[in-house]
Amino acid sequence: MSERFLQAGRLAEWANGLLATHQVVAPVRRGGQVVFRAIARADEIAWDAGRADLPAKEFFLPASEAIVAWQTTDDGVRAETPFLGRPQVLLGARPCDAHALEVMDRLFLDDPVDLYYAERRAKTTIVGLACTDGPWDGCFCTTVGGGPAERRHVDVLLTPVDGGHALDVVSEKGRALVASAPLEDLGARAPKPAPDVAPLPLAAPGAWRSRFEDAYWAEVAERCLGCRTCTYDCPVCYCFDVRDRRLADGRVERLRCWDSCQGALCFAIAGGHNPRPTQAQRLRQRFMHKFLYYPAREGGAALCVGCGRCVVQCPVNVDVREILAHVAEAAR
Amino acid sequence: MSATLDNAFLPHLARLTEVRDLATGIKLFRCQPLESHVRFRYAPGQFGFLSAIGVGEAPFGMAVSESRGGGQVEFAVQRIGTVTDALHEMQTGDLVGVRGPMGRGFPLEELRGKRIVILGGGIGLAPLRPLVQEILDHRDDYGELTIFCAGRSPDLLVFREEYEEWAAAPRTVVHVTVDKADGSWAGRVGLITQALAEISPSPEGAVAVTCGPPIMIKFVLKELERLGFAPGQVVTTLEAKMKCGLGKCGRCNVGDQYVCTDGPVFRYDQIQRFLEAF
Repeated sequence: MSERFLQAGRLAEWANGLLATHQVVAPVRRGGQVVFRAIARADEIAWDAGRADLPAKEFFLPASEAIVAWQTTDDGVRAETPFLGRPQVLLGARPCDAHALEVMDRLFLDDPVDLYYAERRAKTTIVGLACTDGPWDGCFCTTVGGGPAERRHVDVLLTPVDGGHALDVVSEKGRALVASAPLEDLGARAPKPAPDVAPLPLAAPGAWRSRFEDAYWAEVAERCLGCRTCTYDCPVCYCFDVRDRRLADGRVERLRCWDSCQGALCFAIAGGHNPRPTQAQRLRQRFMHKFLYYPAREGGAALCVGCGRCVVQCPVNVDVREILAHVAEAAR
Repeated sequence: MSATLDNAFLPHLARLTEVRDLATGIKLFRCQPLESHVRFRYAPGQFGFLSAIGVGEAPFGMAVSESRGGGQVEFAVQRIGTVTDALHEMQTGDLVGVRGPMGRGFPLEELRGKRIVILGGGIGLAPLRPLVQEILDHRDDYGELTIFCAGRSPDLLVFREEYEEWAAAPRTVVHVTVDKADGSWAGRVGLITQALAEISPSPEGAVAVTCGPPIMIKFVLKELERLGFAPGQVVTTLEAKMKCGLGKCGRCNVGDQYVCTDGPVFRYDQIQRFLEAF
């Protein structure tokens, strides 16, 4: 598909038009951070903000959502599936954030399909924005199968050009969405080049397996605070807790909430037994999950898209890139 | 919403048809699904989630074999946390939620024709009970059966009233031991590992199946190894924190194996490399 051109002002008009039929989720500035939010007007979108501080994960796997609603009836109670939202457009997502959805698809769309994730995913069209303004601190997308201008995981890819964006329609879903966009021929306009992001060495799963007993994990964990920031800011950390909540009006909901393997009690069972009582074990669990267990279970790819958020947001500089280097070095 | 997708998180509603004390702090819950078309089909060793509606749900091993359950399922529940507290307050006639069956049960194909050693500690005997029932109901399919039932004290032994029936079956021996006796106890006193060492079942053509608290499993595995049981001859059923039972919530793994979907039953050689639990 040849690329088209969308003028800067027209992009905003188009996005405003989409709001009539879709929830439009885009990066916006909020409280000093750049986060994805459902917007009310296109001029809220922070096109120039670089990588958002948090991923768009919550629009597919909300931080907290009802997965069962218990309804009281004449003959007792009935368990119901709550209503799921309307079609949404993820606008201005970077290639790594789109890649993250493909990575989570492997788990949540695998049998048994997760109804909630699948619904949101099916109802979402992704309009990505190439990282011609990147890379940023910590970025290593090319190490784990992504790239700053990767088009495989989006439905439409926007690439900045003078006066607007080059628009590349990747999927049928994308084609349907841009039917309403005032597109022009790209002509001689040259899209801005994507930056080089040199891939880091990534050890094969077997190397990770052989590093399971390393004292290294305890060394790294010595400075880990167990604050969980790395898991909450991660676009593919998906582990969840399930809890019941009784509402003021007597109704009962069963909630699914993000959880973090870095919390001390994540693996503790009733009665107090905890198979991973040390931070070293929990830290090892996180990286083994990402680079050994998930690839082994879900078809080869890491549970990581190299967005670098955990690198820049960790308060004590636990750096996944150093861990990758250590395992790769030890494997040689 | 897509009509084609089932919501795997939706429990079946069930009525408690029996709630009885099994041991101090342990009750047995027998559940009859409300909808007549709901029939739980499962193998010994599989598990389900039991919901105290409005409080939460937790996983428990199926405690009765499908054929002996007659369309109802049973769970043995120790009062030990928020959900189990709520369950213990319930009465016959109350409504609960049941999801399941989940996981993989005991490898009956591998057990057939073998001599079987079953070792259950405390409430750990509950998920082994359907296996005992399966073997007794198809007694000719299995070799000699040796069952070790252990508890910290006599009042913590579960299914005590059934040991006699088990021991009365052909080629079946039941050894009962308690860590600490009370005034009423005339039986064996000592850890399950001591009983195991003393009886010393031969590993020749045998498979050992164990379930109990982690500390017990740890030392039972060591004792079985000492007796000559290879890791491939030892089967254990594991407990882990799990929230979905579907391989999604990401917390019950032992290495790249999920207790919920690959287990809870494992041969020791499948998991020994990554065991952190002990």
